[in-house]
Amino acid sequence: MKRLVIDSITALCYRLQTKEMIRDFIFKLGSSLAAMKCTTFLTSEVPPRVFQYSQYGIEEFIADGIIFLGDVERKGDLIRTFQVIKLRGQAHSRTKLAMSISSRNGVELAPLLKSRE
Amino acid sequence: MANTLIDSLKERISKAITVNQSVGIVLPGNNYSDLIQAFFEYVQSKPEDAWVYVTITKPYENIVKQFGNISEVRNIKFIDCISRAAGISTVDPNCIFIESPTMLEKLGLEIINIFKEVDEKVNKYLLLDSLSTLIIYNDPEIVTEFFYHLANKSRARNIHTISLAIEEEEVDRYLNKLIYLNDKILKVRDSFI
Repeated sequence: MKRLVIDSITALCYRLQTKEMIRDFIFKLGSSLAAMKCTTFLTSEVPPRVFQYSQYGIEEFIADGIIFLGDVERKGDLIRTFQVIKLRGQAHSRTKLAMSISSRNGVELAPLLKSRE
Repeated sequence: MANTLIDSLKERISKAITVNQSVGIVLPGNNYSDLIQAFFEYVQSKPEDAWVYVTITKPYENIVKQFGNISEVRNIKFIDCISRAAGISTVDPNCIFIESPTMLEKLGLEIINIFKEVDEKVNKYLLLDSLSTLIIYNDPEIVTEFFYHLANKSRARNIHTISLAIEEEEVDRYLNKLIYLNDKILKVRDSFI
C-alpha cells in the first residue's frame, strides 16, 4: 500500500503562473503517482463560505474524489462539516455530516441537523 | 412534605420508565430540585443500571456541590453542555464537557459513545435536563429535529430516555410538540402527592 499526502496543493502550485501550467502539473503528478499505484491525498485551500471546491478551480476535475470540509455557523458557534462530493466509480452518500475531532475519539461523523437557523 | 414528594416522584419515575421506552416529565420550576433529588436517589438504588445525565440547566460542578456523593456513584456518567460556554474549565473523569449547548450533533455522538461501552445486557437510561433549557440556547425547530434523531437512535439501541421540561409560558407550544414524542408523559403538580 502506498499513500502520499500533499498539504497543500495550493501552496505547491503557488509559483506556477498560468492555469494551464497548474493543470498540466497536477495532471502529470496524478498520472505518475497512479502508475506507481499510490493513493494521494491533496489538500486544497478554499476561502470560507464560498461555493468552490479548490483554489484554482482545476483540482476537482483531475482528482478522482473530493471530500469537502467546511463549517456552518449556529448561534455564533462553528460546527465542522464533512461532505463527499465526488468519488469516481463508487456509489456514495452526498449528505452533509457534522464532524467532530477529538483526542479521545478521533474523527466522528453524525448527520447534520438541517433545520433552518 | 418534601420527602413525601420525593418518594412519590421516585415511585412514579420507577413505574413509568420500566414500562415505557421514553418518558417526558413536565414540572413547574419550584419542583425541579425535588425531582433531581428523587432521580439521584433512584439511580443509587439501582446500581445494576447504566445512566447518562445530560445537563443543560446547571453546571456539573454545581450538581456535585448540591448532591455531594453523586460524583462517586459508578453507574451514572454526566455530559455537561453549559460549563465550557460559561467559562468554567473544570475537568472530571465522570463528566464529558461539550463546548456549547448549540453543538447538538456532538452531544448525540457523546451519548452514544458512553452507551457503546456498556454491556448489551445492562439496562440503559438517559436523562435530558432539560428540553426547555435546550430551547433557550437553540432555535426550537433544531431542538425538535435533534430530539427526533435522539429518540430514534435511543429506541434502536434500547436506551430508555427521560426528558425534563420546565413549564414556562413562552415555550409551551414548542414543548408540547416535543414532549408528546415520548411514550408517556408525567405532569408534576402540587396535587401530585
